[in-house]
Amino acid sequence: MKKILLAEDEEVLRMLIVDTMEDEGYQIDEAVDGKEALEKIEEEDYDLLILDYMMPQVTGIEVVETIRKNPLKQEVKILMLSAKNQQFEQEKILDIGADYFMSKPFSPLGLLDKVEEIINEN
Amino acid sequence: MDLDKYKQLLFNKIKKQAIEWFESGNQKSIPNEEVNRFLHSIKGTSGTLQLDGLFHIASDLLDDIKESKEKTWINSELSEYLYPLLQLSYEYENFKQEVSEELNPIIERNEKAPLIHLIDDDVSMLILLKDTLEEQGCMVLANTDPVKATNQYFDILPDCLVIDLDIPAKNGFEILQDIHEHNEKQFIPKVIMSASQGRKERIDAFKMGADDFIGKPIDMEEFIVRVSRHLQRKRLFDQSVLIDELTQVYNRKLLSAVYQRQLENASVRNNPFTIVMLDIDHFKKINDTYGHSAGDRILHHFAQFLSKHVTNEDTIFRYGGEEFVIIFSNTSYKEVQEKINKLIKDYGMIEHEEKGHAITLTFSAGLFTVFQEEIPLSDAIEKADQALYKAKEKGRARVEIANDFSKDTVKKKLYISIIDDDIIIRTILTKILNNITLKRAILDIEVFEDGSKFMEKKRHEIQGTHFILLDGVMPVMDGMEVLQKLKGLDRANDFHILMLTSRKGENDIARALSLGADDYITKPFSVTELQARIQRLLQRIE
Repeated sequence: MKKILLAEDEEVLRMLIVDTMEDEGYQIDEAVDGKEALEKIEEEDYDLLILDYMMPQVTGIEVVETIRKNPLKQEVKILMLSAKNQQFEQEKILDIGADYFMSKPFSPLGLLDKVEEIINEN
Repeated sequence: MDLDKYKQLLFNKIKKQAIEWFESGNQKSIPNEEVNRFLHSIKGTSGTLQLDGLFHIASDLLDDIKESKEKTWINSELSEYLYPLLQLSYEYENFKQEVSEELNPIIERNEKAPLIHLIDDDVSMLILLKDTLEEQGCMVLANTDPVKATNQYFDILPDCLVIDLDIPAKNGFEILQDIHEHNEKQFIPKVIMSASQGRKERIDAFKMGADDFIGKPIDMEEFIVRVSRHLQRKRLFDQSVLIDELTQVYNRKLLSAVYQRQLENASVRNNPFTIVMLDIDHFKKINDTYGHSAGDRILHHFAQFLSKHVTNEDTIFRYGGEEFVIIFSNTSYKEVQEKINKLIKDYGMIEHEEKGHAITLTFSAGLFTVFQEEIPLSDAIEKADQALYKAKEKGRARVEIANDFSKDTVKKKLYISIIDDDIIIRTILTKILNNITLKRAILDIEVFEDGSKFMEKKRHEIQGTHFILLDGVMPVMDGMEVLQKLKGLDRANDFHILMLTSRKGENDIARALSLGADDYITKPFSVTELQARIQRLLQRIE
């Protein structure tokens, strides 16, 4: 079973994504901010991280920067969610080490499609 | 995919935040950063939940405040700022659809909606008829109390009266009789409903002034058709009999009736009104130079010009020739003088083209304000006419006042209390009321979280007219209890009470009406509809 971690500070959105993914048979853990995300990533090997760009304390970007420095975490795929959808923001996010980008607002089914696409890539 | 659950969570979140910020009414300051975070999170979530309206409002509000980083908000100021978001959230929650697109038809419907006065002591029937008629686009004032029906009838002058014959306390005949004795001048169709449909009842009803007799049980489809036919007839009648053919404003026939109504209103409620006599300057020259058809065009245009610039409460009459009369209800001379001065200026700017010439015209006016005194129409007209004569003497294109005193009337206060435990509803109601301005009264608005706070503050002991928006169900002291207390007072008539009840609470509605509530509104309500309704009720009682 594929394991996913979702870091999203917005409670309603987090519940919605978790419910959607679980309905599709994914195992999904949740983190309410970047700090908790880092702790969970340390303990567990995930197939995919879904990270919100804007989070209190530790942002999505900082999470990406931290884990890409860790040689053990090079394989994990990262999908970044962001309300900033300008071209250069996207490029910046991808440069830093995220693999995919999705702009907010997204539809739940759109996100699901994206996740399936990523998981099925190999 | 069913998003309702998450939508509800988002609405709850908004509500929770509103309670934290705005509850208890104490001054509180809120850093902009906090507001920013809140809006950001609403924006982020609402887009995904396909609440596009909320998404756009949150985005717009967010853009507005981005600049003001160091700002701190006072809670009242913030509640005003976030109002569009709170209102939309309320409407989404309760109507579960894109509401913003529907707003316009609702507004239109209410401004011109025919007003139906419905009296029936059977509450289930009353609710059914009210709902049915409102679905048809009418505004319905429903009442179970036959005793106050007659006064209410003359207060609101509905477009149609629907009344149950078989009310034990005072039957439909007696109400018709009451109305008849008031020497009614308007034509208002009256529909009698009755379970007993004997020949005698029918004949008696028609003798008493009924225009229609509908047997119970009522066939709803037929009921709707019949009532709408009456409304059509009423419209046609109003237009044909009382309207001057050339100018399309009222003719003199209605003048004394309107004047009489204003007079009653003035003496009973201390509400002044103003009668204005207007006359186009040098009109004879137009007729002599350009012919009578040119004169007719000028008259027609003048009447249209006036109609465009007065409110629905004011009435224009063609008095004769080039003379017009306007009765400005609930308004005293100062206000009217300003208004007429502006009209004279605007009218003078208009160019009329006759036989290749561009003509500009002016008019003169004389006005007289009636306060409480019982002055016959002929005297009032004469005074206004003398002032008009003075205006002509002084060089025309001006307005003169016939009253010879300098002190102005003071606007009286109308005490508005909003009693509801739901912060969102309180915010919406407060906003609606703040937007209402009345001609004769200043609104003194206070908000209470429950019935006991209202009673504790002794709000009801303030002398004067009160208008109370009262939630039926509240913790601590519920609306019924408050209603009962107020209507048990000696001065119960000072309290006009609009009850807010839930849609399924038929028993609550019945109880509220039997305890003396003047009207009810079911929750959830459409904000625009409620606004129109409150405006209408206040104009009647101010």
